[in-house]
Amino acid sequence: MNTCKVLGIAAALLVLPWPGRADNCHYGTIFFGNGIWTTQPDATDDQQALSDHVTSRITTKGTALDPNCLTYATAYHQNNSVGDLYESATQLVQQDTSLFWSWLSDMALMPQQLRDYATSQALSLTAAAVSDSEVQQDVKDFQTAAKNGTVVLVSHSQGNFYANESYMKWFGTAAPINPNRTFNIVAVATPAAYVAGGTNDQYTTLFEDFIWNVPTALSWNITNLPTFNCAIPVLCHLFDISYLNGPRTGPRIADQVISFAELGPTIRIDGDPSDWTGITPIIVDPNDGLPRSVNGAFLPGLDILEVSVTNDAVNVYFLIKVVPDSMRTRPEYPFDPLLVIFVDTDLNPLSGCRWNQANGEFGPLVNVGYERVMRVSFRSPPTSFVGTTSPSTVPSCFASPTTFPGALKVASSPGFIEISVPRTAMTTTANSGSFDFFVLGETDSTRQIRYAFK
Amino acid sequence: MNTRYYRIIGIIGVTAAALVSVGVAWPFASPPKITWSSAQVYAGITSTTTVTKTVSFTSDQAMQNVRLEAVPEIARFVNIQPGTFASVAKGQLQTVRLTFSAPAGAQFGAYEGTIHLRDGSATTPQTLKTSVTFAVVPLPPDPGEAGKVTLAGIDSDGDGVRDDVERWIALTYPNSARARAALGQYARVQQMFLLQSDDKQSSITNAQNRDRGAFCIYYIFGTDNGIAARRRLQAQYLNTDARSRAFLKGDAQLSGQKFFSPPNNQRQAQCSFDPNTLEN
Repeated sequence: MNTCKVLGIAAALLVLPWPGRADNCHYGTIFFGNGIWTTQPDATDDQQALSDHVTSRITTKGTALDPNCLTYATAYHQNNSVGDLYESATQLVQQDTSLFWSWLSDMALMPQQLRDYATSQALSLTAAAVSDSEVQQDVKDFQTAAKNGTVVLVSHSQGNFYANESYMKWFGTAAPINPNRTFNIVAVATPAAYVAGGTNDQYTTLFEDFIWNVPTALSWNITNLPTFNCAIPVLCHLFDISYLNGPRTGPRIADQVISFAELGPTIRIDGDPSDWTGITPIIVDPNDGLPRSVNGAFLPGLDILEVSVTNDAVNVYFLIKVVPDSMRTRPEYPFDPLLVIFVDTDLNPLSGCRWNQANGEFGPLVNVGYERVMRVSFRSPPTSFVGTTSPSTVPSCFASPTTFPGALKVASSPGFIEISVPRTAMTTTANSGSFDFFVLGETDSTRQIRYAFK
Repeated sequence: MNTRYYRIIGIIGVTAAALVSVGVAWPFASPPKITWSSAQVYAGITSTTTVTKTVSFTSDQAMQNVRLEAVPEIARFVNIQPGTFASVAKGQLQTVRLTFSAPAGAQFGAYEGTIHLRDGSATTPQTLKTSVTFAVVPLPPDPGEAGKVTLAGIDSDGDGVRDDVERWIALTYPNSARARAALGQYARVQQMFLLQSDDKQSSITNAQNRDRGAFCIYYIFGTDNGIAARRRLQAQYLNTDARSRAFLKGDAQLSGQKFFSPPNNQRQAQCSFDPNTLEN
């Protein structure tokens, strides 16, 4: 180690994650699951209204959430409620079918006879009408979206049956066993008896709405009266007109969306390091140029350059940069090029597996124990596996990998690798504020350093 | 019948022959029958454009001192040249030039009327049905019931938007070129959606493109007004049972699909035109 390098490392050790970074970017996808009497274009209208409403609420509340980090989408389901309503209206509209579509746009103009029919449609909603194949597709789509952040499904009316079924299919239960809040339901005007994965109060149903008269439906839990009167029962069931515009229901729905969105990851593990801008590396390890052959040629082996770490409420993220041409892939080693991150989650050097740092340029680490050993490969697609070891049972930190509590996500490109690991996996009950770690490459390693959660 | 009776008949016949020979209409005969070269004439005009149409007519009788007139509903919009004929020979083709333009202070709208020949105080019953639409842009004629016969309807100018819808957009939103462009973009995709509603993948693709149109509308109008405008347009589009059922069929193809929105700061990019190049 030369003097410059020592100074550089010392400086890096003193630098905490850059407080000036815009830490308000939480990635997530807000789906709108439409309700009854809604065509796909109408669902897009409602979803756009929801987007505007949440964005406005973020500003009003002064929350640090950046609305531009949220993606919006519609999860559309048609149960032929509009088709049935159309059939029942054909006698009323005669040849002027435009009239029907005008009524559907503004149900206040709808003849009472048709409104009564619409009400009867809603009151007969059941989960039996849910298409299993569509639920399967929903789960696949939600899981895909979850790779890029938290998923919030704002489900209205019959859309709640789909939402509940999706949760059940994904997690195998309606119980809130979704600790990372990967998939969250914000139920609105639900005819269902429960909100999957939610608490007892994680829904919004108006007293003025008739939907709580559906047998087994959750009861009403809010009213916009007397300041806002939706007046006509069918109007009181509408997502945009009644719920979003309601002085109490609108903010309540938006706040629930925001609270889930704030749990979204601040870093996307997508092979694009641009969202790390502003996060100062916690370890700077200048290009060592090591090892080299006697004639100065570079010998392959991972040469670590920088390690950056950050976290949000759910995950811890690593960005590790290496010298690109130091990467080598040997056929006999299926995980080449490989990095290993040793983590002391309980800050207790006496617990965990032992690893004597013999090859590292910082010298050996003696009898330090690690609870987590994360091995991450630059192979395309990148792979990862994590060993959970205990000195009493498996003394070697390189014993066969076992299941890690929570997915480790990795994306790489020549020269860097991004890693996400659940925050809960990086701490212990006794210590939830920080962890020690060092990174080992094939021919390089970093010094052990402590990261304190933001 | 006696001889006297035959004499009276003979006198009447000779008199009638004499009158006909000098070109005087027989007062008890039917009025001249006018045959126009076309059943109707249409002009779509703007405040800065005029439309000229040439029509012709023939009469089955000779006529004197004939004037061509438009009914008051359209008289302000049309100039007829020549407006008078000293004589119209029987069966001879007469050509008339109709120049349509908007008078000062005229309101945008569709104006219907007739042009007819006046012979003295009498008006010939065979009139030329004449329609003028004064709008911010030149518009095709109202297809009326003929436009409702098929699923596709009539798109006489081939711009991808049904004529009745094109007219509705222009006459409803005369003050905003951006609004017309955004609604036109949406309408073009809606037409594709209806025509291809049998095919699931086409329905999905068209719905995605239609959403782009919707986001363009939200950008131009603002969300609330955009939603209202989009829904009004949809009601105009689905004006027959066949179109409504095609829409519902295509909509059913979309069940289970996800439709992603562009970020709010990219709504403008959803427009197929550059709003900044339009004045309002």
